[in-house]
Amino acid sequence: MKRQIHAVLSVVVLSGLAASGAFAQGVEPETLSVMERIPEGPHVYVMDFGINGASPIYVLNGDDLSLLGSITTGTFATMKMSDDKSTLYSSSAYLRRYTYGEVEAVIHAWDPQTLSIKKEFTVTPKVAQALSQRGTLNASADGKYLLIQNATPATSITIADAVEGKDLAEIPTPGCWTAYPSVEGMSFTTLCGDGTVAKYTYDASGKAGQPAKSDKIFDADKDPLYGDAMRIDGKLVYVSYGGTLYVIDDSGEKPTLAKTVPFTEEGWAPGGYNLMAYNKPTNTLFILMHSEPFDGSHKAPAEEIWAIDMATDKVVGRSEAHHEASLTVSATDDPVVYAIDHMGGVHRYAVEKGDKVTLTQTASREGVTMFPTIVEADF
Amino acid sequence: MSRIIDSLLKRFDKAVEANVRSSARSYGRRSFLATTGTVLAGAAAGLPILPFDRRANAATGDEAADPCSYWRQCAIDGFVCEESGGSITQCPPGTSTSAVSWVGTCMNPDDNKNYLISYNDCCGKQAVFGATFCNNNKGERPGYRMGLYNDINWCMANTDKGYHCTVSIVMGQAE
Repeated sequence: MKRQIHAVLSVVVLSGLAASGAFAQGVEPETLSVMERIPEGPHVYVMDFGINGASPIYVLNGDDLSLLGSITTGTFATMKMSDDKSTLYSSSAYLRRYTYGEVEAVIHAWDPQTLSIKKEFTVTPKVAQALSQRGTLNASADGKYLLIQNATPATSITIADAVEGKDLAEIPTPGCWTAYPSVEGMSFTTLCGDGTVAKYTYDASGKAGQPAKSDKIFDADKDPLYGDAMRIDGKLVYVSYGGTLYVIDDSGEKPTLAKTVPFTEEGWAPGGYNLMAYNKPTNTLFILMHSEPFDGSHKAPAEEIWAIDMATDKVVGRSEAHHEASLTVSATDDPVVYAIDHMGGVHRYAVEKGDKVTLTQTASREGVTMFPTIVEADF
Repeated sequence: MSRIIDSLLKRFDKAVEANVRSSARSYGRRSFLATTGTVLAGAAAGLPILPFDRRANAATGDEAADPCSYWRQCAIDGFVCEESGGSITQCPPGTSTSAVSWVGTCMNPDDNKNYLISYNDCCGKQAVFGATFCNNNKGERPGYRMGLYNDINWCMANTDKGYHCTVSIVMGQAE
């Protein structure tokens, strides 16, 4: 029956094409195919949080911000580009009945050039359904392990085998949030609400003993630290709501405070979600800033992007921003900054280096996403 | 599509406006809960609406026009339930109340007293995009103070984990 219907429809369609003169005008029959990959060149990846469904990742041309393709993950997702830029990891939740039912938490390893799945596996459904942020999905320095934040709301970290694609173990981290991998070895560092920084060391099975906790380093009441952190010169650099960098040395047995760098001035404070970006070749930290801060403005859209020379700890540039709440920067000698605004737009900035660092917007595109949360680049 | 875009614009307009309006609030007022970061369980059981809560009795004036600037929304992050089929203290029909919640400490301008507000999510349905999205963050902290953290799905402990909207329940005086 189905074959007969196809035969009849084919005759009808072909007759229609002939009657319309399509063939007569010389249009050759075409072949349906799928693009093998996105064009060569720099790319930027923008996650739409998808609070009301799937969390897509839009892939843009890194020069003109034109759309090249997309990736679709589950809901409440976050993502992390591997250090070698060969894999884009995501973690997200899939609910059996879309808004209810059993939760499958899935880790995907995406090919950032073909936008196809390299690997996928499930982990504990305890994975935190939190706003996309750098500290909740990370890879160990050697790329063998993934560190995934859980919350039930009790907090813990899942250690997963990134090579085998396997959930290994859950490490309770009560009162602490985020996990950043150590530069060497099998450890991670996390921020705790009592003002300490804790270091957990795990074995090949993913299990960990008691953490090595620092002395009290910050005051979560008076000047709390964001969960966002950058790895700079082997140390972890956090920023406080009030505008002080906290440089943590986590290379030893227990984390220690190497130094604090109060960098802001009266009337200005950091703001946003993934609000810092570090370019190693120029040793420059970029940070989103807003004016007239108050209790509760710590996620405010940026009015300026400040550049800090991490060799001298001095602010070496202040440039106009466009209401961004998250940003990233390329790893190239000539840095390119990408930032996403609270209306779903994406902005590209060229960076003029020197004693004074200046960002100039060279491209922007509105309405890329509904709810942009995190941005990555592959160069 | 235009409706969705209009909704988005409205949502962010409200958020920005609320941020501006709340800028006059002073930094430093904190409750004991803000210190301990305690997670409240079963907050949805709720307390009676306080008699001076004018919003419960009158839906007129600036507060009705701008739900995000209403005093008890000082740390809300979500779609308001009163525009999703429910009310400021009730989840819409057919949803479930979140078993856990985050807490804010908000000052009622009518009596200049601070109140503990439990922000419960309502769960099991999609969000309503026509509803206003409020994003206020007074006293908000990252997940290391989980009871003060609002960038997470507070339906996480429910069987029905889909996020729908957020209610704001007065739990009592903070000080």
